[in-house]
Amino acid sequence: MREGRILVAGATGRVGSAAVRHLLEAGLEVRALVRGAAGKGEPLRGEPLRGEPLRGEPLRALGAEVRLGDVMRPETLAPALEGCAGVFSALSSSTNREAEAVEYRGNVNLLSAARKAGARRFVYSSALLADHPLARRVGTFREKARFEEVLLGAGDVSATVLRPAMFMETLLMALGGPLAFVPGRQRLPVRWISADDAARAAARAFERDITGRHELAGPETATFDEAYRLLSRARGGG
Amino acid sequence: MLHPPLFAMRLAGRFSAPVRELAGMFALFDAAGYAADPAPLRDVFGVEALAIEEWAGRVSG
Repeated sequence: MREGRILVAGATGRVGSAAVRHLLEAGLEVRALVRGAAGKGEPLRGEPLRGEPLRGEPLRALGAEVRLGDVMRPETLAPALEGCAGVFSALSSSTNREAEAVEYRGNVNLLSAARKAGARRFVYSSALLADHPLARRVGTFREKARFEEVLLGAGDVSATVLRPAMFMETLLMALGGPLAFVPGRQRLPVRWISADDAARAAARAFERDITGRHELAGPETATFDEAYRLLSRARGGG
Repeated sequence: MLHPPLFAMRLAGRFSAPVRELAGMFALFDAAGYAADPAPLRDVFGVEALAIEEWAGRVSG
């Protein structure tokens, strides 16, 4: 798909915002779906109040069109999808309850609206091991796996499911000052990928019409401890 | 590097939904690892991905 506008949902997140940039660099038109004013995480309520920055303002500065909308409010999706040929969903959630609402129902709403709008290309950012038996206890993973099946079963949509390995950004999230807090022994191998490289793959999926389900992993296998040693070395910590 | 036991995180997760979700994720990583095939990213998508030290140099530089 080398022409046509792409709607990016989850456009203010790490992967979504990087995907906006890579899609624009690839020469595609991009519309970013954002929920409202910046900084408070509040739901869509129309245009931001005077003086409040729009969440997607940095994306507009890159050259993306920014539209207000919320995947949990299907009535806002039809206008957002008007004229779009494809969708990239990088929605994310942080709790079990939110996962069912956003990862599953939100993405189903988005897919349904895309089909009605005639957007037949859908690229979805899922997660490695989303369908692992132990992942059923993790709402985010379980609901991602559920939506994967819905998407890949949609016969009238050209679908891509991306399953990124561990984001390198996770290393920074677990840092508390000079110490890293990593629950559990974590002695098994982990593959790492930067959010930017995952986003680059999403843009390539559109550019090269890559469909199906794909794992995304960078060049290194390292346990959490080994990864922190590499991070420390890169920062001059020896 | 500190490795607090998973049960401690599960305990904290009784009072916080995001912590409960994280506890489930780390239990999965602890039991199954998180290994994947690097070939598709390079060969199918044509992405030469950064290694951890390269990435760290970019985010701190």
